[in-house]
Amino acid sequence: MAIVGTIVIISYFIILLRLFPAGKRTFDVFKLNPVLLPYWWKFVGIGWLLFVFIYSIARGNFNPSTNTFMLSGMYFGLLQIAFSKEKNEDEFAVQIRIKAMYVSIISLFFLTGIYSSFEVIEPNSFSEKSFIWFMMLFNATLIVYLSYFYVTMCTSSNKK
Amino acid sequence: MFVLLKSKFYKMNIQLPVFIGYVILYISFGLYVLRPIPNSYDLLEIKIRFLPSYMKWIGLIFIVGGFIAAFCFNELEGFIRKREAFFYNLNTGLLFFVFSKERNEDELFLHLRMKSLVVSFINTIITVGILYPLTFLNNEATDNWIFDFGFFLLMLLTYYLFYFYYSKYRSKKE
Repeated sequence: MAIVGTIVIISYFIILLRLFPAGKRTFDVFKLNPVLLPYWWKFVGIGWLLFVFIYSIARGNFNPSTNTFMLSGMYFGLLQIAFSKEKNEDEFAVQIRIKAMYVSIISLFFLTGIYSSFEVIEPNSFSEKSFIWFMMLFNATLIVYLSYFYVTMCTSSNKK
Repeated sequence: MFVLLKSKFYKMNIQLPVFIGYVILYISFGLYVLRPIPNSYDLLEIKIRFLPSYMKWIGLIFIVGGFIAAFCFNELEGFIRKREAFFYNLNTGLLFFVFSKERNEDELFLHLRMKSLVVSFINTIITVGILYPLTFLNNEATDNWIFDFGFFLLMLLTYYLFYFYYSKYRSKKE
């Protein structure tokens, strides 16, 4: 299990650091164009998600509040699906991708604010289980992003 | 009567109103910015609404209040720890700062905002991925400020402000 964990962590960094081209070390946002994964990588992500679900069902532990393997594995799979290209990647898809990400991150802001204000009543209620809460929030962000993105793509293609 | 009311006011637990106030503030702020349309997930219909430009000064007051709360008072009523008061004030102020209009707002700024938020989110994911294994090596670090939500929001917003103002400065120069 430890070998799988180290492979996952290393590939997590490779995926994320690959997004920013190494040659251009600028902080100007207009010049930063993220490099996404190829289209067929979506199926790798879906396969990884299926593996995680089947493994956790076979172990008999499908409860996300105790099973950290399922949460982090789901996050890793959703990340691969979210950061890979479409079949016909054009200007429209790029614009929709940025806007969907923006809306989902705004919703993450407000979810985080509401959850963190709960610590006024009960201190340390989240910092003890913060890994689970962080993974749940990141999963929620990625699911909101994917649903906004694909609903908009489907409705726009139906209108045409 | 007055004395009785006064004593009741002092005995009242102030933590619950503070909590409810924060939740109402965040929900109303989110509904104001995103303005959701019922039963529609079409992004082309969603238009993001920003606060007016003078709200930046109110945000600045919140940020200064957070620093005063952290360094001047020893005990705060309604907050169990000083750290929470500091982070909440700072994050609320930064949220006002981030979601208010510039003085000369045009089409370019919406694109700039969206792109810099996405870039700062990816940066935050990388930073969390580096910080977490480092702190997990330390087994007894349960009450660490790195694990807090406040620090996470602060990291995202400061990355965002840095990218946004740097790109604005660069585009003005050219």
